[in-house]
Amino acid sequence: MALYIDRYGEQQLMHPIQGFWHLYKTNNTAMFGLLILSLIALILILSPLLAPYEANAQFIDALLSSPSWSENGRIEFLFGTDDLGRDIFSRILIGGRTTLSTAMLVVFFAALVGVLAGLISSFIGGWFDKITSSVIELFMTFPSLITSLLVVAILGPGLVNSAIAVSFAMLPHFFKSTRNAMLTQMKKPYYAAARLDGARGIRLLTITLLPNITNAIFIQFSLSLSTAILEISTLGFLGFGAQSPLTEWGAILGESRSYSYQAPWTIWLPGLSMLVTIFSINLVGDGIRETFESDHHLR
Amino acid sequence: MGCFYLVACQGENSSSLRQQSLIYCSEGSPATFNPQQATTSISFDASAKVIFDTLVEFNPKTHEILPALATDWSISKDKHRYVFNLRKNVSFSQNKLFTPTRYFNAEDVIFSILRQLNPSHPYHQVGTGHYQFFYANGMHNIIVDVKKINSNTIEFILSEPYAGFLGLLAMDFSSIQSAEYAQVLSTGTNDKENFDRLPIGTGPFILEHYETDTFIRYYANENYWRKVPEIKTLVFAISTRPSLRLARLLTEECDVMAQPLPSQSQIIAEHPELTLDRQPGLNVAYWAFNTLKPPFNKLKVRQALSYAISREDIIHTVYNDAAVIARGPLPPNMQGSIKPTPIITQQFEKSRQLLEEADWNPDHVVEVWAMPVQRPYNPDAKKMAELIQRNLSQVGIKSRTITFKWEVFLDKVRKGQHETVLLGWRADSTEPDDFLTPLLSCDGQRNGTNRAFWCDTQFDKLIIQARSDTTENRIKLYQQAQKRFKQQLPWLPIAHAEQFIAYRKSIQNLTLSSTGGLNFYQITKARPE
Amino acid sequence: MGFMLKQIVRLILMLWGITVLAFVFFEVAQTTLPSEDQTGFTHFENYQIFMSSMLEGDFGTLHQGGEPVLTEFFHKLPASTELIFTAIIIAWLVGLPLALLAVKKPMGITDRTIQLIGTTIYSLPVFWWGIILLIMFATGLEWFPVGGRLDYIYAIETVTGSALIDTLLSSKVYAQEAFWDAVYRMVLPVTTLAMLPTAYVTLQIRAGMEEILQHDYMKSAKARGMSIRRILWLHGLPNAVQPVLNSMSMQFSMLVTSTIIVEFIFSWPGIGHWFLILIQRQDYDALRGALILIASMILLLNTTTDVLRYWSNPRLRR
Repeated sequence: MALYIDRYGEQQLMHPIQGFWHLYKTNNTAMFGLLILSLIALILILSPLLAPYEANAQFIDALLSSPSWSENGRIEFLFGTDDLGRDIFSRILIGGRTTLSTAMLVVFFAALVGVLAGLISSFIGGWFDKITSSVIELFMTFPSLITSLLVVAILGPGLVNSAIAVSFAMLPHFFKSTRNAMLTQMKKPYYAAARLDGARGIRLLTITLLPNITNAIFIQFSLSLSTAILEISTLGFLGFGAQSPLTEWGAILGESRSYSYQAPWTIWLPGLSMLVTIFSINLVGDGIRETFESDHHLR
Repeated sequence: MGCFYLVACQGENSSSLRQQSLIYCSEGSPATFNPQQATTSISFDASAKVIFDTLVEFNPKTHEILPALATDWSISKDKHRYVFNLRKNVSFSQNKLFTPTRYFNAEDVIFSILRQLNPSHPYHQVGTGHYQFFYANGMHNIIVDVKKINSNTIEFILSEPYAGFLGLLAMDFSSIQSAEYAQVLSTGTNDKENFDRLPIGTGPFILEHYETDTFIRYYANENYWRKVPEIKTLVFAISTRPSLRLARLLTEECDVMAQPLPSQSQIIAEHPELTLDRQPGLNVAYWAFNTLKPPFNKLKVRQALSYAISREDIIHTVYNDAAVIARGPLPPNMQGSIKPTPIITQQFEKSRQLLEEADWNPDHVVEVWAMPVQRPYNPDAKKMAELIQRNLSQVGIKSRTITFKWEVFLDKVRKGQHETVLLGWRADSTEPDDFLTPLLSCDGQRNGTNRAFWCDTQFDKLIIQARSDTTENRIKLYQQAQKRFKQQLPWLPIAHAEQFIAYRKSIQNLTLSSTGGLNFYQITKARPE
Repeated sequence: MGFMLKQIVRLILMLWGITVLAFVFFEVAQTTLPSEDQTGFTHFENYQIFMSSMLEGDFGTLHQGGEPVLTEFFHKLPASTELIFTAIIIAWLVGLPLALLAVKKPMGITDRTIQLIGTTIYSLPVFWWGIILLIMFATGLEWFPVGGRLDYIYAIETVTGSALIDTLLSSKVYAQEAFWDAVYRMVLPVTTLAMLPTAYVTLQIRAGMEEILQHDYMKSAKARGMSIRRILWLHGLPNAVQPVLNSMSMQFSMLVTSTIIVEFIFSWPGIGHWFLILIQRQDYDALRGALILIASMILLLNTTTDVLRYWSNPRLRR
């Protein structure tokens, strides 16, 4: 980041991350999102300490117990229990950890491969790029859930496999946004200038172009995180994701569906936790995007 | 055209349509409409007693043999020959491909038996070509010949006296199909495969439409030889998930709900518009160890795993206490069932000790195959697997649950790809042989219905002896066989589940037989007040 | 003409590409699976067999039941399209007025509320929301049925495949009642499905309008004394709608994903439900056919919107 090309003298001392934060701070909604998200992240990181029970601890004498605040609830089970007598609060905490950390890994992996492929393809250009990007475009005609379902159908259900499946389905989006950003940058005069100066190969790619497309990648990254959470939990919900003894938000909801009528809290509470988490991620994502877009300096 | 008040007319028509319709929320899609080739009770339920009839049938409560398509029969002194007089003026139904020109007769019986028995029969390979229950019950060894005496009399010649023969003829796989329909489909441009896809039977209902994985619609057979059903439209609304079935029952989208979960029983029982029937069932749920796969070929391993399990917890959690702990493979309400003997109880110490003696490899991850569907004997195998996994981890055994779509699952288990599997059996009769031969005999091992792949000469000898024994001694032989089973423990018998059915209060004359099947033709619907 | 020709060539190439992609995908899959019937053909020979049978209209058969995949696909398609198109229509009918309402006073209380709801909908797990609607309105209040497309007691002849149209065309005594039953049954699934596109249309058009209002020509129109409403309708709207229309194909792909889930939850007998059943049955032969058919449908739709856009936009045509 030290190589950041600055065009405005008076801001020279401001590091780009600092500059970003400076702007982001002024966005109240985004800050609110960040606050909630940090809180959730903290809770989930500490979940092994916070969860009153093991995720799979079964209390045979308390099957489908109501949440603690309801009339039939029991104080020792805050959010009630499921049909195996497992504490829902603990399951939400531990399951959320699985969902979120998997989603992050998925996005990292998809970004790594997708960005790399996008960089290389657009940088090489010509026929190679045309063919690669057409294949990727073709790939994107398959709706993401269909792609990931097919991958798990072949690899078999499981958390790791569903993570692979979702990364696989997400890859093209990183490829595309990287490539688009690259193509825009490669039309700009500074690129031509750098080339005329004799910059070639890896140097041209990493030093001249890469810093200018990080924003696009970053935006795609923040957008993808909530998608990844949704897709992983969807696979979990459909029974193709995490298998017992692993706990995961979608899988919890998938299991709860079979007693949704008797025990609606087993649907409401895990779902609301998901909603709040994704909502805060979306607020932060929007904030990041708006910050980048509102400032030419950062763009 | 006589209707001026459109709304009123519509109302009247629709209410009479609804009044004469019965919607049954069934638990899965049938794989075939041919009960001879059916392998799951879902397929039997959608075909056998709805579309077809058998020569004889069971009284649903007492299990005594009653006449059906056969009006009466005689058995020769040496018990080798059975002669049946067939019912006259019984007609097969018709569809767009076929209109019968004659009544049901001896040809149809011969066709229905030979199609299964004779591999070179022109219809043997039609459909899947597999007749699992016919062969699993040893019909191919029992029947030597079927002869037509005259068009309304038929004779079966048996290879040995077989005590349960009439019972076998009352079972769903012995349904009678139309030889004339088969012949019509063999000619011209017709496709033989339509024989099972668009079935023709003598039963109370006629298949009208099957929307794959969605619903089956039948119309009443107006020429039915018994009382014509009052229900004119019978619908099986396929609802795999129990929660969906319950929801549909509550919102009046269903009149009858198959297999309510034990955990739903309280809600149903307390609901003012619903009725819940329950009764002990003729079934067993078990945890089978594949004895062909090491280390499960070791008796001590099987015992160690069994001693780790708390079946009390399973019965409380999975069955909601609506089941009894199984002492052996046969349910307590079946003749020849083992006398009360000590139950294998959870003993962690004993389990750990046995593991040590058997040189258990602590890194071995035990596969617990759990079927993906709810069955009468096991409402939730995955849940059961979770409890078992928990118990196993308490004695230091690693394990994981494996599941596939039901058809795939059955196929893989039949091929013996599993290590251990949670399955079960629902009987068609009170005949012990109906349990022991398919589930635990060497014949069953070859067929793949013996999920433990356990072939024990001593056990086999006892049940073969019992099969042809018509004296009191028979019960003793079965009890000895069960003792042998308990010594060898090819599976841990888990529970005998109660049978449930839930329906709206307007439904009358619905009886659940102890084998779990329903007879739809007797059902009537009360008019709303 | 040049444009059309180019589109057609592109479409054909893409369709061919899909078959290759699907073929490679399943061929790779098959090598990782323990296969029982090794045919001994090379991959290329397999592809030739696969292509030639597909050109004859053979997209494989279902493992269970043995029906051709093609027949089954077109049998299940109308149920899905009925759902999707109703959802799209609702998305525009609701989204457009909401966007106009929001942009009337940017960052006012209405605008903020609409934006907040929009973001919340973006964060809703569809599968969860569907179940919540079921718990509340079907099993809870018993206002709506829990699933299915038409009460199974109605035997309505299939003409168009659309339950709404077929019940209207039917001559059965209960046709009218069946029609209302079909409408009734659509309410919950369509509501669930339409949530996301409605939020999308609202937020996108709102954002577009807001940007356009910043433009100088807008400011000058305002200065000339045109009423805000007229400005919005005459100048703002057409320019704001254009980008949303352009992203229709993206939206459509997104909708297919939600449709699968909605069909699963509401037992809707469409393509999505069918696809899930095939996945669970691990019927790879049928899945390959289904994948090609689904992707081709999406591709065809995208090309059609491209062509329509081209013809409706004089700037592009020049």
